[in-house]
Amino acid sequence: MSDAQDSISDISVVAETTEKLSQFLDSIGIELSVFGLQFTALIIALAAFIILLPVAWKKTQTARYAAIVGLAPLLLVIVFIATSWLGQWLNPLPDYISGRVVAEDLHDMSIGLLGFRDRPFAAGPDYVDSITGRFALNYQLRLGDYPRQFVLKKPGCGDLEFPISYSGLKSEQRFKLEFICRASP
Amino acid sequence: MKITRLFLIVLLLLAGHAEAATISGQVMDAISRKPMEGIEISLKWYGGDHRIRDATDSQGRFQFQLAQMLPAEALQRRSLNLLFSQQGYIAESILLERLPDAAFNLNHERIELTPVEGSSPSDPGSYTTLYVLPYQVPQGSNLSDPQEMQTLITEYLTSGVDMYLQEIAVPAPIENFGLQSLGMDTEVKISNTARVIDFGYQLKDALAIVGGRAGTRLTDEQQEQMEFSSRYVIVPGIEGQTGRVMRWDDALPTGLISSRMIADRLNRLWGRNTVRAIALAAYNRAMTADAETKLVLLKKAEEFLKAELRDAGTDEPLVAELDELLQQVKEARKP
Repeated sequence: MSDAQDSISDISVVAETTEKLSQFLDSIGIELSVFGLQFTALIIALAAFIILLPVAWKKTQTARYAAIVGLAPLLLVIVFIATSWLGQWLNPLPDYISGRVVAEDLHDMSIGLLGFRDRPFAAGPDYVDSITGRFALNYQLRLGDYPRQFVLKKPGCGDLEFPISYSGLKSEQRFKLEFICRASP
Repeated sequence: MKITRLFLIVLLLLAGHAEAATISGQVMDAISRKPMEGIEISLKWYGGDHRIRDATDSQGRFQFQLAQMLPAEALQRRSLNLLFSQQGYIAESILLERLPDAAFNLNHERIELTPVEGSSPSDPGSYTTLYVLPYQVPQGSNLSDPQEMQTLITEYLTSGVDMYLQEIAVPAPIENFGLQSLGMDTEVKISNTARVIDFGYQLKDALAIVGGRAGTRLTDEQQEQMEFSSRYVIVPGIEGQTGRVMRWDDALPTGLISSRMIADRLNRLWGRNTVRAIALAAYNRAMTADAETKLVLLKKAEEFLKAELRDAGTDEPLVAELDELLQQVKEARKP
Protein backbone atom coordinates (compact mmCIF):
# COMPACT_ATOMS: atom_id res chain seq x y z
CA MET A 1 0.00 0.00 0.00
CA SER A 2 1.39 3.41 -0.88
CA ASP A 3 2.01 6.10 1.73
CA ALA A 4 -0.68 8.32 0.22
CA GLN A 5 -3.25 5.53 0.56
CA ASP A 6 -2.02 4.93 4.11
CA SER A 7 -2.59 8.55 5.03
CA ILE A 8 -6.10 8.55 3.57
CA SER A 9 -6.72 5.39 5.53
CA ASP A 10 -5.39 7.17 8.65
CA ILE A 11 -7.97 9.94 8.22
CA SER A 12 -10.71 7.36 7.69
CA VAL A 13 -9.67 5.68 10.91
CA VAL A 14 -9.90 9.02 12.74
CA ALA A 15 -13.37 9.69 11.28
CA GLU A 16 -14.64 6.16 11.88
CA THR A 17 -13.32 5.99 15.43
CA THR A 18 -14.88 9.36 16.24
CA GLU A 19 -18.20 8.29 14.69
CA LYS A 20 -18.21 4.96 16.55
CA LEU A 21 -17.46 6.65 19.84
CA SER A 22 -20.22 9.17 19.17
CA GLN A 23 -22.70 6.37 18.35
CA PHE A 24 -21.71 4.47 21.48
CA LEU A 25 -22.20 7.54 23.65
CA ASP A 26 -25.53 8.23 21.92
CA SER A 27 -26.63 4.66 22.74
CA ILE A 28 -26.00 5.22 26.44
CA GLY A 29 -27.77 8.58 26.35
CA ILE A 30 -24.80 10.91 26.11
CA GLU A 31 -24.97 13.35 23.20
CA LEU A 32 -21.51 14.40 22.15
CA SER A 33 -21.41 18.08 21.26
CA VAL A 34 -19.73 19.32 18.10
CA PHE A 35 -16.89 20.53 20.28
CA GLY A 36 -16.72 17.06 21.88
CA LEU A 37 -16.61 15.42 18.46
CA GLN A 38 -13.92 17.77 17.21
CA PHE A 39 -11.97 17.31 20.42
CA THR A 40 -12.17 13.51 20.08
CA ALA A 41 -11.09 13.70 16.44
CA LEU A 42 -8.22 15.98 17.42
CA ILE A 43 -7.01 13.59 20.13
CA ILE A 44 -7.24 10.58 17.79
CA ALA A 45 -5.48 12.44 14.97
CA LEU A 46 -2.77 13.63 17.36
CA ALA A 47 -2.33 10.13 18.76
CA ALA A 48 -2.13 8.66 15.25
CA PHE A 49 0.38 11.32 14.25
CA ILE A 50 2.54 10.72 17.32
CA ILE A 51 2.48 6.94 16.78
CA LEU A 52 3.05 7.04 13.03
CA LEU A 53 5.76 9.71 12.93
CA PRO A 54 8.50 7.55 14.60
CA VAL A 55 7.44 4.62 12.40
CA ALA A 56 7.95 6.78 9.31
CA TRP A 57 11.20 8.11 10.68
CA LYS A 58 12.64 4.60 11.03
CA LYS A 59 12.17 3.89 7.32
CA THR A 60 14.99 4.18 4.79
CA GLN A 61 15.77 7.71 3.76
CA THR A 62 13.99 7.40 0.41
CA ALA A 63 10.84 5.95 1.96
CA ARG A 64 11.01 8.28 4.96
CA TYR A 65 10.15 11.50 3.12
CA ALA A 66 7.24 9.88 1.32
CA ALA A 67 5.94 8.44 4.60
CA ILE A 68 6.21 11.81 6.35
CA VAL A 69 4.47 13.60 3.49
CA GLY A 70 1.82 10.90 3.74
CA LEU A 71 1.09 12.05 7.31
CA ALA A 72 0.31 15.56 6.08
CA PRO A 73 -3.49 14.99 5.91
CA LEU A 74 -3.48 14.02 9.60
CA LEU A 75 -1.61 17.20 10.34
CA LEU A 76 -4.15 19.12 8.27
CA VAL A 77 -7.01 17.71 10.38
CA ILE A 78 -5.23 18.85 13.52
CA VAL A 79 -4.47 22.29 12.11
CA PHE A 80 -8.01 22.69 10.72
CA ILE A 81 -9.65 21.91 14.05
CA ALA A 82 -7.24 24.07 16.00
CA THR A 83 -7.57 27.05 13.65
CA SER A 84 -11.36 26.79 13.56
CA TRP A 85 -11.44 26.98 17.36
CA LEU A 86 -9.01 29.85 17.36
CA GLY A 87 -11.06 31.66 14.69
CA GLN A 88 -14.27 31.27 16.68
CA TRP A 89 -12.57 32.39 19.84
CA LEU A 90 -11.00 35.46 18.28
CA ASN A 91 -13.90 36.34 15.98
CA PRO A 92 -17.08 34.84 17.42
CA LEU A 93 -20.34 34.63 15.48
CA PRO A 94 -23.13 37.01 16.54
CA ASP A 95 -25.46 35.46 19.09
CA TYR A 96 -28.39 37.12 17.35
CA ILE A 97 -30.37 36.27 14.24
CA SER A 98 -33.40 38.04 12.83
CA GLY A 99 -35.69 38.27 9.84
CA ARG A 100 -39.27 38.09 8.71
CA VAL A 101 -41.72 35.29 8.04
CA VAL A 102 -44.18 35.62 5.20
CA ALA A 103 -47.30 33.53 5.76
CA GLU A 104 -51.04 33.69 5.27
CA ASP A 105 -51.62 33.46 9.00
CA LEU A 106 -48.88 34.35 11.46
CA HIS A 107 -50.77 33.59 14.67
CA ASP A 108 -49.31 31.01 17.06
CA MET A 109 -46.21 30.67 14.94
CA SER A 110 -42.97 29.90 16.71
CA ILE A 111 -39.43 29.72 15.43
CA GLY A 112 -36.38 27.78 16.57
CA LEU A 113 -32.83 27.07 15.48
CA LEU A 114 -31.22 23.76 14.65
CA GLY A 115 -27.52 23.08 14.65
CA PHE A 116 -25.32 20.09 13.86
CA ARG A 117 -27.37 16.89 13.36
CA ASP A 118 -30.58 18.92 13.76
CA ARG A 119 -29.90 19.47 17.41
CA PRO A 120 -31.95 22.41 18.70
CA PHE A 121 -30.18 25.54 19.84
CA ALA A 122 -31.41 27.22 23.00
CA ALA A 123 -32.85 30.40 21.52
CA GLY A 124 -35.54 32.94 22.20
CA PRO A 125 -37.93 34.63 22.26
CA ASP A 126 -39.44 32.03 20.00
CA TYR A 127 -42.69 33.69 18.88
CA VAL A 128 -42.99 35.29 15.47
CA ASP A 129 -44.62 38.74 15.51
CA SER A 130 -48.19 37.87 14.56
CA ILE A 131 -48.78 41.20 12.81
CA THR A 132 -45.54 41.89 10.94
CA GLY A 133 -44.00 38.40 10.78
CA ARG A 134 -40.75 39.66 12.26
CA PHE A 135 -38.61 37.51 14.50
CA ALA A 136 -35.36 38.12 16.37
CA LEU A 137 -33.65 35.36 18.29
CA ASN A 138 -30.87 35.48 20.81
CA TYR A 139 -29.13 32.13 21.05
CA GLN A 140 -26.35 30.55 23.01
CA LEU A 141 -23.14 30.18 21.03
CA ARG A 142 -21.55 26.75 21.08
CA LEU A 143 -17.88 26.22 20.29
CA GLY A 144 -17.63 24.36 17.00
CA ASP A 145 -21.31 24.64 16.10
CA TYR A 146 -23.61 27.31 14.72
CA PRO A 147 -27.33 27.51 13.75
CA ARG A 148 -27.70 25.71 10.43
CA GLN A 149 -31.48 25.75 10.03
CA PHE A 150 -34.57 27.65 11.10
CA VAL A 151 -37.54 25.54 12.08
CA LEU A 152 -40.98 27.15 11.89
CA LYS A 153 -43.82 25.61 13.85
CA LYS A 154 -47.51 26.31 13.72
CA PRO A 155 -50.28 24.23 15.26
CA GLY A 156 -52.07 22.18 12.59
CA CYS A 157 -49.23 22.60 10.09
CA GLY A 158 -46.14 20.47 9.54
CA ASP A 159 -42.84 21.94 10.74
CA LEU A 160 -40.87 23.72 8.02
CA GLU A 161 -37.09 23.98 7.98
CA PHE A 162 -35.03 26.62 6.18
CA PRO A 163 -31.25 26.49 5.78
CA ILE A 164 -29.15 29.30 7.25
CA SER A 165 -26.13 30.39 5.28
CA TYR A 166 -22.97 30.78 7.33
CA SER A 167 -22.15 34.05 5.61
CA GLY A 168 -25.65 35.38 6.28
CA LEU A 169 -25.35 34.43 9.92
CA LYS A 170 -21.97 36.08 10.23
CA SER A 171 -23.09 39.32 8.58
CA GLU A 172 -26.32 39.46 10.64
CA GLN A 173 -28.35 39.30 7.45
CA ARG A 174 -32.11 39.62 7.91
CA PHE A 175 -33.56 36.37 6.65
CA LYS A 176 -36.86 36.09 4.82
CA LEU A 177 -38.77 32.84 5.28
CA GLU A 178 -41.89 31.91 3.35
CA PHE A 179 -44.15 29.64 5.35
CA ILE A 180 -46.78 27.55 3.62
CA CYS A 181 -49.04 25.52 5.87
CA ARG A 182 -49.02 21.86 4.97
CA ALA A 183 -51.21 19.60 7.06
CA SER A 184 -49.10 17.89 9.70
CA PRO A 185 -48.71 14.13 9.17
CA MET B 1 -7.47 55.95 33.67
CA LYS B 2 -9.51 58.92 32.50
CA ILE B 3 -10.48 57.07 29.35
CA THR B 4 -11.62 54.05 31.37
CA ARG B 5 -13.73 56.28 33.62
CA LEU B 6 -15.27 58.03 30.65
CA PHE B 7 -16.02 54.67 29.05
CA LEU B 8 -17.74 53.50 32.24
CA ILE B 9 -19.84 56.67 32.41
CA VAL B 10 -20.93 56.23 28.80
CA LEU B 11 -21.79 52.60 29.49
CA LEU B 12 -23.88 53.58 32.52
CA LEU B 13 -25.71 56.26 30.51
CA LEU B 14 -26.48 53.81 27.75
CA ALA B 15 -27.67 51.17 30.20
CA GLY B 16 -29.87 53.76 31.86
CA HIS B 17 -31.30 54.72 28.47
CA ALA B 18 -32.11 51.11 27.61
CA GLU B 19 -33.75 50.52 30.96
CA ALA B 20 -35.84 53.69 30.81
CA ALA B 21 -38.08 52.16 28.14
CA THR B 22 -41.76 52.61 28.81
CA ILE B 23 -44.07 50.35 26.88
CA SER B 24 -47.60 51.60 26.39
CA GLY B 25 -50.53 51.15 24.07
CA GLN B 26 -54.15 50.12 23.82
CA VAL B 27 -55.84 46.76 23.25
CA MET B 28 -59.09 46.68 21.28
CA ASP B 29 -61.55 44.03 20.19
CA ALA B 30 -60.92 43.70 16.44
CA ILE B 31 -64.59 43.18 15.71
CA SER B 32 -66.48 45.46 18.07
CA ARG B 33 -63.60 47.96 18.23
CA LYS B 34 -64.18 48.37 21.94
CA PRO B 35 -61.32 48.62 24.42
CA MET B 36 -60.50 45.40 26.20
CA GLU B 37 -59.99 45.45 29.94
CA GLY B 38 -58.04 42.89 31.96
CA ILE B 39 -55.86 41.56 29.15
CA GLU B 40 -52.91 39.41 30.13
CA ILE B 41 -49.56 40.48 28.71
CA SER B 42 -46.61 38.11 28.82
CA LEU B 43 -43.09 39.35 28.30
CA LYS B 44 -40.86 36.66 26.86
CA TRP B 45 -37.16 36.72 26.23
CA TYR B 46 -34.40 34.22 25.74
CA GLY B 47 -34.22 32.33 28.99
CA GLY B 48 -37.29 33.61 30.78
CA ASP B 49 -40.67 35.26 30.86
CA HIS B 50 -42.78 37.55 32.99
CA ARG B 51 -46.55 37.59 33.10
CA ILE B 52 -48.66 40.67 33.82
CA ARG B 53 -52.23 39.82 34.68
CA ASP B 54 -54.99 42.43 34.24
CA ALA B 55 -52.54 44.59 32.36
CA THR B 56 -55.14 46.83 30.68
CA ASP B 57 -57.54 49.31 32.27
CA SER B 58 -61.17 50.00 31.33
CA GLN B 59 -59.95 51.95 28.27
CA GLY B 60 -57.84 49.00 27.18
CA ARG B 61 -54.69 50.97 27.93
CA PHE B 62 -51.51 49.52 29.34
CA GLN B 63 -48.27 51.10 30.40
CA PHE B 64 -45.27 49.70 32.19
CA GLN B 65 -41.59 50.33 32.71
CA LEU B 66 -39.52 47.44 31.47
CA ALA B 67 -36.85 48.12 34.06
CA GLN B 68 -39.38 47.48 36.84
CA MET B 69 -40.57 44.24 35.29
CA LEU B 70 -37.52 42.53 33.91
CA PRO B 71 -34.23 41.33 35.31
CA ALA B 72 -31.10 43.07 34.04
CA GLU B 73 -30.24 39.97 32.01
CA ALA B 74 -33.47 40.35 30.00
CA LEU B 75 -32.89 44.06 29.44
CA GLN B 76 -29.55 43.29 27.83
CA ARG B 77 -31.23 41.15 25.16
CA ARG B 78 -31.90 42.65 21.79
CA SER B 79 -35.39 41.24 21.46
CA LEU B 80 -38.45 40.63 23.57
CA ASN B 81 -41.89 39.29 22.78
CA LEU B 82 -45.07 40.77 24.11
CA LEU B 83 -47.85 38.21 24.05
CA PHE B 84 -51.36 39.66 24.40
CA SER B 85 -53.94 37.07 25.32
CA GLN B 86 -57.40 36.61 26.67
CA GLN B 87 -59.64 33.59 26.75
CA GLY B 88 -61.82 33.41 23.64
CA TYR B 89 -59.44 35.52 21.55
CA ILE B 90 -56.57 34.72 19.24
CA ALA B 91 -53.39 35.80 21.01
CA GLU B 92 -51.23 38.40 19.30
CA SER B 93 -47.47 38.26 19.62
CA ILE B 94 -45.54 41.50 19.15
CA LEU B 95 -41.79 41.61 18.74
CA LEU B 96 -39.81 44.33 20.48
CA GLU B 97 -36.41 44.65 18.93
CA ARG B 98 -33.80 47.20 19.76
CA LEU B 99 -30.50 48.24 18.31
CA PRO B 100 -27.49 47.88 20.55
CA ASP B 101 -27.46 50.76 23.05
CA ALA B 102 -31.02 51.79 22.23
CA ALA B 103 -34.24 51.39 24.16
CA PHE B 104 -37.00 48.94 23.38
CA ASN B 105 -39.81 50.57 21.50
CA LEU B 106 -43.36 49.41 20.79
CA ASN B 107 -44.38 50.28 17.24
CA HIS B 108 -47.96 49.11 17.45
CA GLU B 109 -49.86 51.71 19.42
CA ARG B 110 -53.04 49.72 19.13
CA ILE B 111 -53.24 45.96 19.43
CA GLU B 112 -56.39 44.31 18.13
CA LEU B 113 -57.47 40.88 19.33
CA THR B 114 -59.79 38.80 17.17
CA PRO B 115 -62.32 36.48 18.80
CA VAL B 116 -61.75 32.78 18.25
CA GLU B 117 -64.26 31.25 15.83
CA GLY B 118 -67.34 29.92 17.57
CA SER B 119 -66.61 31.62 20.85
CA SER B 120 -68.83 34.30 22.23
CA PRO B 121 -67.37 37.74 22.19
CA SER B 122 -67.12 39.54 25.48
CA ASP B 123 -69.87 41.95 24.52
CA PRO B 124 -72.22 40.14 22.12
CA GLY B 125 -74.47 43.13 21.62
CA SER B 126 -71.74 45.15 19.98
CA TYR B 127 -70.28 42.43 17.77
CA THR B 128 -71.12 43.92 14.43
CA THR B 129 -69.97 42.57 11.12
CA LEU B 130 -69.68 45.53 8.83
CA TYR B 131 -66.14 45.09 7.65
CA VAL B 132 -66.17 45.35 3.93
CA LEU B 133 -66.48 48.88 2.79
CA PRO B 134 -67.28 49.15 -0.91
CA TYR B 135 -67.08 52.84 -0.55
CA GLN B 136 -64.72 55.68 -1.10
CA VAL B 137 -64.56 57.15 2.33
CA PRO B 138 -64.91 60.93 2.27
CA GLN B 139 -62.07 62.86 3.79
CA GLY B 140 -62.62 63.59 7.43
CA SER B 141 -64.89 60.60 8.03
CA ASN B 142 -64.56 58.94 11.36
CA LEU B 143 -63.75 55.39 10.31
CA SER B 144 -63.67 54.11 13.83
CA ASP B 145 -67.27 55.11 14.47
CA PRO B 146 -69.40 52.12 13.39
CA GLN B 147 -72.55 54.23 13.24
CA GLU B 148 -71.03 56.77 10.90
CA MET B 149 -69.62 54.01 8.72
CA GLN B 150 -72.94 52.22 8.57
CA THR B 151 -74.65 55.40 7.43
CA LEU B 152 -72.00 55.99 4.78
CA ILE B 153 -72.14 52.46 3.44
CA THR B 154 -75.91 52.29 3.47
CA GLU B 155 -76.16 55.55 1.58
CA TYR B 156 -73.73 54.30 -1.00
CA LEU B 157 -75.37 50.95 -1.49
CA THR B 158 -78.91 52.23 -1.62
CA SER B 159 -77.99 54.83 -4.17
CA GLY B 160 -75.86 52.45 -6.25
CA VAL B 161 -77.86 49.27 -6.55
CA ASP B 162 -81.30 47.93 -5.89
CA MET B 163 -80.65 46.63 -2.45
CA TYR B 164 -80.21 47.63 1.11
CA LEU B 165 -77.69 46.84 3.74
CA GLN B 166 -78.57 45.07 6.90
CA GLU B 167 -76.21 44.84 9.75
CA ILE B 168 -76.08 41.50 11.51
CA ALA B 169 -74.94 41.15 15.06
CA VAL B 170 -73.08 38.17 16.55
CA PRO B 171 -72.54 35.57 13.89
CA ALA B 172 -71.49 32.88 16.38
CA PRO B 173 -72.36 30.11 15.98
CA ILE B 174 -72.99 30.68 12.33
CA GLU B 175 -75.43 27.77 11.87
CA ASN B 176 -77.86 29.45 14.19
CA PHE B 177 -78.85 32.43 12.17
CA GLY B 178 -81.18 32.21 9.26
CA LEU B 179 -81.53 34.71 6.48
CA GLN B 180 -85.29 34.44 6.49
CA SER B 181 -85.45 36.48 9.63
CA LEU B 182 -83.41 39.19 8.03
CA GLY B 183 -85.51 39.79 4.95
CA MET B 184 -85.04 38.68 1.39
CA ASP B 185 -82.60 40.96 -0.37
CA THR B 186 -80.07 40.78 2.35
CA GLU B 187 -76.39 41.25 2.20
CA VAL B 188 -74.51 39.34 4.81
CA LYS B 189 -71.16 40.44 6.01
CA ILE B 190 -69.13 38.27 8.29
CA SER B 191 -65.49 38.10 9.03
CA ASN B 192 -64.05 34.67 8.46
CA THR B 193 -63.19 33.36 5.02
CA ALA B 194 -63.53 29.62 5.53
CA ARG B 195 -66.79 29.90 7.36
CA VAL B 196 -68.17 32.35 4.88
CA ILE B 197 -67.37 30.03 2.01
CA ASP B 198 -68.93 27.02 3.76
CA PHE B 199 -71.90 29.10 4.68
CA GLY B 200 -72.24 30.61 1.23
CA TYR B 201 -72.71 27.26 -0.40
CA GLN B 202 -75.58 26.44 1.92
CA LEU B 203 -77.48 29.59 1.13
CA LYS B 204 -80.19 29.70 -1.43
CA ASP B 205 -81.92 32.94 -0.64
CA ALA B 206 -79.02 35.26 0.05
CA LEU B 207 -78.34 38.05 -2.33
CA ALA B 208 -74.61 37.93 -1.95
CA ILE B 209 -72.04 37.67 0.73
CA VAL B 210 -69.18 40.00 0.92
CA GLY B 211 -66.64 39.35 3.59
CA GLY B 212 -63.36 40.51 4.83
CA ARG B 213 -61.62 41.99 7.73
CA ALA B 214 -60.58 45.54 7.91
CA GLY B 215 -59.00 47.86 10.36
CA THR B 216 -58.02 51.47 10.28
CA ARG B 217 -55.02 53.30 11.57
CA LEU B 218 -53.28 56.61 11.29
CA THR B 219 -50.09 56.71 9.26
CA ASP B 220 -47.02 58.62 10.33
CA GLU B 221 -48.34 61.48 8.22
CA GLN B 222 -51.57 61.34 10.23
CA GLN B 223 -53.56 60.08 7.26
CA GLU B 224 -56.18 57.48 7.85
CA GLN B 225 -55.62 54.19 6.09
CA MET B 226 -57.46 50.91 5.98
CA GLU B 227 -55.90 47.52 6.38
CA PHE B 228 -57.62 44.63 4.63
CA SER B 229 -57.31 40.89 4.61
CA SER B 230 -59.40 37.97 3.32
CA ARG B 231 -61.57 39.68 0.77
CA TYR B 232 -64.19 37.68 -1.05
CA VAL B 233 -67.56 37.81 -2.67
CA ILE B 234 -69.82 34.80 -2.67
CA VAL B 235 -72.75 34.59 -4.93
CA PRO B 236 -75.05 31.71 -4.05
CA GLY B 237 -75.92 29.49 -6.97
CA ILE B 238 -79.35 28.45 -8.11
CA GLU B 239 -80.72 25.03 -7.23
CA GLY B 240 -78.40 22.30 -8.48
CA GLN B 241 -75.52 24.65 -9.16
CA THR B 242 -72.57 25.48 -7.03
CA GLY B 243 -72.20 28.97 -5.70
CA ARG B 244 -69.57 31.17 -7.18
CA VAL B 245 -66.81 32.27 -4.89
CA MET B 246 -64.57 35.08 -5.89
CA ARG B 247 -61.62 35.90 -3.75
CA TRP B 248 -59.21 38.62 -4.47
CA ASP B 249 -56.84 38.39 -1.58
CA ASP B 250 -53.91 38.44 -3.96
CA ALA B 251 -55.24 41.14 -6.21
CA LEU B 252 -54.62 43.82 -3.67
CA PRO B 253 -51.36 44.37 -1.93
CA THR B 254 -51.38 43.00 1.57
CA GLY B 255 -50.81 45.40 4.37
CA LEU B 256 -51.85 48.95 4.24
CA ILE B 257 -53.46 50.33 1.15
CA SER B 258 -55.34 53.49 0.53
CA SER B 259 -59.07 53.64 0.86
CA ARG B 260 -59.26 54.88 -2.72
CA MET B 261 -57.64 51.71 -4.01
CA ILE B 262 -59.97 49.54 -1.99
CA ALA B 263 -62.94 51.52 -3.12
CA ASP B 264 -62.07 51.27 -6.82
CA ARG B 265 -61.41 47.58 -6.66
CA LEU B 266 -64.42 46.75 -4.57
CA ASN B 267 -66.71 48.94 -6.61
CA ARG B 268 -65.87 47.03 -9.76
CA LEU B 269 -66.29 43.62 -8.16
CA TRP B 270 -69.26 44.66 -6.18
CA GLY B 271 -71.18 46.10 -9.07
CA ARG B 272 -70.59 43.13 -11.30
CA ASN B 273 -71.39 40.45 -8.77
CA THR B 274 -74.31 42.21 -7.21
CA VAL B 275 -76.15 42.46 -10.49
CA ARG B 276 -75.66 38.77 -11.08
CA ALA B 277 -76.53 37.96 -7.49
CA ILE B 278 -79.78 39.89 -7.66
CA ALA B 279 -80.76 37.84 -10.69
CA LEU B 280 -79.95 34.60 -8.96
CA ALA B 281 -81.71 35.54 -5.77
CA ALA B 282 -84.78 36.61 -7.73
CA TYR B 283 -84.75 33.33 -9.64
CA ASN B 284 -84.40 31.25 -6.47
CA ARG B 285 -87.25 33.07 -4.81
CA ALA B 286 -89.40 32.79 -7.90
CA MET B 287 -89.20 29.02 -7.76
CA THR B 288 -91.14 28.95 -4.50
CA ALA B 289 -93.36 32.00 -5.01
CA ASP B 290 -96.99 32.17 -6.11
CA ALA B 291 -97.65 32.51 -9.85
CA GLU B 292 -98.00 36.33 -9.91
CA THR B 293 -94.86 37.01 -7.82
CA LYS B 294 -92.99 34.37 -9.77
CA LEU B 295 -93.50 36.23 -13.03
CA VAL B 296 -92.36 39.53 -11.54
CA LEU B 297 -89.27 37.96 -10.03
CA LEU B 298 -88.33 36.07 -13.20
CA LYS B 299 -88.71 39.21 -15.27
CA LYS B 300 -86.42 40.99 -12.85
CA ALA B 301 -83.88 38.14 -13.04
CA GLU B 302 -83.98 38.24 -16.82
CA GLU B 303 -83.38 41.98 -16.93
CA PHE B 304 -80.43 41.76 -14.63
CA LEU B 305 -78.91 38.83 -16.50
CA LYS B 306 -79.25 40.65 -19.81
CA ALA B 307 -77.63 43.70 -18.28
CA GLU B 308 -74.81 41.59 -16.97
CA LEU B 309 -74.39 39.93 -20.36
CA ARG B 310 -73.99 43.32 -22.00
CA ASP B 311 -71.14 44.11 -19.58
CA ALA B 312 -69.52 40.67 -19.61
CA GLY B 313 -67.48 41.59 -22.68
CA THR B 314 -65.03 38.91 -23.74
CA ASP B 315 -65.10 36.93 -20.51
CA GLU B 316 -66.17 33.73 -22.28
CA PRO B 317 -66.76 31.49 -19.25
CA LEU B 318 -68.89 34.20 -17.70
CA VAL B 319 -70.83 34.78 -20.91
CA ALA B 320 -71.49 31.03 -21.22
CA GLU B 321 -72.62 30.83 -17.63
CA LEU B 322 -74.88 33.85 -17.93
CA ASP B 323 -76.35 32.47 -21.17
CA GLU B 324 -77.16 29.22 -19.46
CA LEU B 325 -78.77 31.03 -16.54
CA LEU B 326 -80.75 33.23 -18.89
CA GLN B 327 -82.08 30.20 -20.74
CA GLN B 328 -83.09 28.69 -17.43
CA VAL B 329 -84.94 31.84 -16.44
CA LYS B 330 -86.67 31.99 -19.82
CA GLU B 331 -87.69 28.35 -19.48
CA ALA B 332 -89.15 29.09 -16.08
CA ARG B 333 -91.17 31.98 -17.47
CA LYS B 334 -92.93 29.78 -19.98
CA PRO B 335 -96.49 29.06 -18.88
